[in-house]
Amino acid sequence: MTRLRLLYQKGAPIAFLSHLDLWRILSRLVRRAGLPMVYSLGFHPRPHIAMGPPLPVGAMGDQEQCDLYLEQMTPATLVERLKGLGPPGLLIHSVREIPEHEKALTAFPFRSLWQLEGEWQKAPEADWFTNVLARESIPVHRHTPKREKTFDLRPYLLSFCSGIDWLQVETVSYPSGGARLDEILRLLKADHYEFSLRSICRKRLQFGPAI
Amino acid sequence: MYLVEKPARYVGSELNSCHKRDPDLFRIALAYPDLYEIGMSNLGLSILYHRLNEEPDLYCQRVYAPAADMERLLRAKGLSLQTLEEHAPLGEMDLIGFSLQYEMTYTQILNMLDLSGIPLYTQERQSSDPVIVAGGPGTANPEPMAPFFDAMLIGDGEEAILDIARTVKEWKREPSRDRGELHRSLARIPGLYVPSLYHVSVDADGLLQEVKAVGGAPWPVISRKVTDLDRAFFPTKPIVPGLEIVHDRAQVELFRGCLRGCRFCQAGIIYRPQRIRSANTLFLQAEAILSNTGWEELGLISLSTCDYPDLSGLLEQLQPLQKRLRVTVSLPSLRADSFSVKLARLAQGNKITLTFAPEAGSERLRTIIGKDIRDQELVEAVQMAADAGFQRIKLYFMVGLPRETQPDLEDILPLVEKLRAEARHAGRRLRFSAAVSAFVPKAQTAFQWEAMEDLERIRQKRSFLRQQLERIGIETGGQREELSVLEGVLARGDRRLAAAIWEAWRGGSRLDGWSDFFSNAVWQEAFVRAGIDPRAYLRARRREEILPWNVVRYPTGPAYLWRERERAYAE
Repeated sequence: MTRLRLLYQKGAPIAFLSHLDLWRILSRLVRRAGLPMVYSLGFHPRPHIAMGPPLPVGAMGDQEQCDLYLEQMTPATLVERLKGLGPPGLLIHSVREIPEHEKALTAFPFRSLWQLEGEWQKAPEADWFTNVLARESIPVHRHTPKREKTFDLRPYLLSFCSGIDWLQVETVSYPSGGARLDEILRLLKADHYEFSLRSICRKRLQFGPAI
Repeated sequence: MYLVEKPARYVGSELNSCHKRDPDLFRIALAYPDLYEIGMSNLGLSILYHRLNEEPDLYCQRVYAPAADMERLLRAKGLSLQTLEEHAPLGEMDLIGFSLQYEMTYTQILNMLDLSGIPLYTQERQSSDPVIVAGGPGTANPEPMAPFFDAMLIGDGEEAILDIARTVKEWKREPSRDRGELHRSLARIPGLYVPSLYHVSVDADGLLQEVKAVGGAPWPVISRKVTDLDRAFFPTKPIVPGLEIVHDRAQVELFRGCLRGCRFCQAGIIYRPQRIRSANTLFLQAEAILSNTGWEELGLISLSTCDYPDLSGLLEQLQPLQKRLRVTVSLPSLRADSFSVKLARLAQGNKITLTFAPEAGSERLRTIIGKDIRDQELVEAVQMAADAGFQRIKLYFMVGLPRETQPDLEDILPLVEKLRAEARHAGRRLRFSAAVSAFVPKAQTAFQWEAMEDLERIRQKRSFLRQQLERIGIETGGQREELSVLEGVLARGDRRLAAAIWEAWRGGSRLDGWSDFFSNAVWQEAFVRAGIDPRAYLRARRREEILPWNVVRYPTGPAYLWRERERAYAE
């Protein structure tokens, strides 16, 4: 069995698809390519594709990753075989081979660098970000299907800053959770800094703890 | 986009969707008055979309009904409904074709026109407005929606749609661009009904007195038929949506038309004659579609799949393909007999649910309505399903059928009990559920002259049956009776109903087929405002009466339908 890791871009045309939709798109892509995938058993065979950390619906991703499990194939052949099969919005940057038993792509922790583009009704000053990061805890309300709770964002927030029409945030996710972008926007809004969102993109995805 | 639910419905750019750049192309939008997930599952629309886009001078795009949140957003921002391909306002199209699949989507058509700033009534539209046409099974009775369309296609669309596009394109080149002139040209296309060329008069009792064709328009309009399905266009590179849709699978059409002759069934009449696609063509199409899309399931589509002449042969031929591409094959529209179940098992392996439609509880009533299935066949089908490892059986029943008696209704419970006992006997615990809905006498069927049962009686019958069935632990469902009655009114109506449809739209009726959005009060208010008594449309019709849908003619014709009706009464 060969495990090949795809580095790909989730572009604007597919930004509004969910994580599960994205899996389906990838599984149909490998079916179109007729790849010798490892399939699940049973009446509804599924190709073995292990997805990386999910993107929220509406987010693009420049450096997303997933692992394909194939019977045998070199990275170069895979690139060749996937060429021109689409779909629009899915761009494959590179493929490399990964040892079969290496850690899964969903292993924690991982860090995400988010670029949010849009329009500030009122932009925060630079020291607002410094002050927030200096706090010991940043409590936010979080609704879960079962209950409402207070969640501390601070451990998951590495850095953030803003520009004339953008907001950049770096977050880290642990098994205990992660910071959500809508919570960060609410944090800004609580101090009357309102941002109307045009696009979200995860520019970078890195595994391992924050340095 | 971040403000609405499931924005992917409105994005477009799916795999295999068509994008053309030339600004001088003749632009057509195919509009479906329901949500993306429903509309994208429609095979007819897919055929037309790809057929039109094969022509270099035509650019066909799509548009679906916006959900309530999207509609609010469009209205709040003063934006127009847009096509998925170019994101162009719908009003900029040259031609818009609506699909009439179901009566309860009619108000949504008006809504989509309004959201695009297009005048709703044909007579209010200017030469710069798009030409609005309709097609689909709803045109079997075109009258209730007639005032909103320049033309309505009766019958198959894959050839006629090109004639329509070319005719409108020619007309757009003319300097005068007189809509009356356009209507007269459209009326010359076989299968096209142009409502403005038919004058309807009503007598003192409110009955139709005369329908007169003017301007050389044909009477009646004969439905358009594709003669050779094997050579007819079929898309082998269909659009693959990113969002999961209702029928998210590759589809091939085995045959069109059904010869079963169920007397209540409109599709059984309007899609005749039966035209078959050869197994060879189907195999080639299936192979091409699967490798162009990557779909994991192949649906073999028709009105009654087991009536395909050599279904086992076809399934056998498909097997190597199934293995190589690792796809499952599904057989919708199965007849309730053991032969069908056997095939279903062969094709699908372990499917969870089997759906059967006995329609009536007694063999007597089933014979009357032309649904020729004996109790014993049902029993064998259930035994076979139990053996095959199916887990759920869904049964469909109708109440309010012609010549139905109390004993017929009372026969339903023992039938269901017997089927369940048989399944238990086979050593399997099958879960049974039953949908009980009202019979709607539809246009162009042998029962088109029958009265539809009134709301109260339907309610009584349904609740009687549902209570009986639920008492023995069977889950029940089916269409709400108010919705069925309204469907009956719209399916049997004439042109005067258009005013009520307009009022219902104004009153907020949208996506009525989704029971959570349906408000009967809005419709009742609309009938009052339009000065219409809906019950008048549910009454029995006399043979010599002029029916609103007489203007449309299918190969069977009213004489045949009347004979079938007489036979139903003689059974």
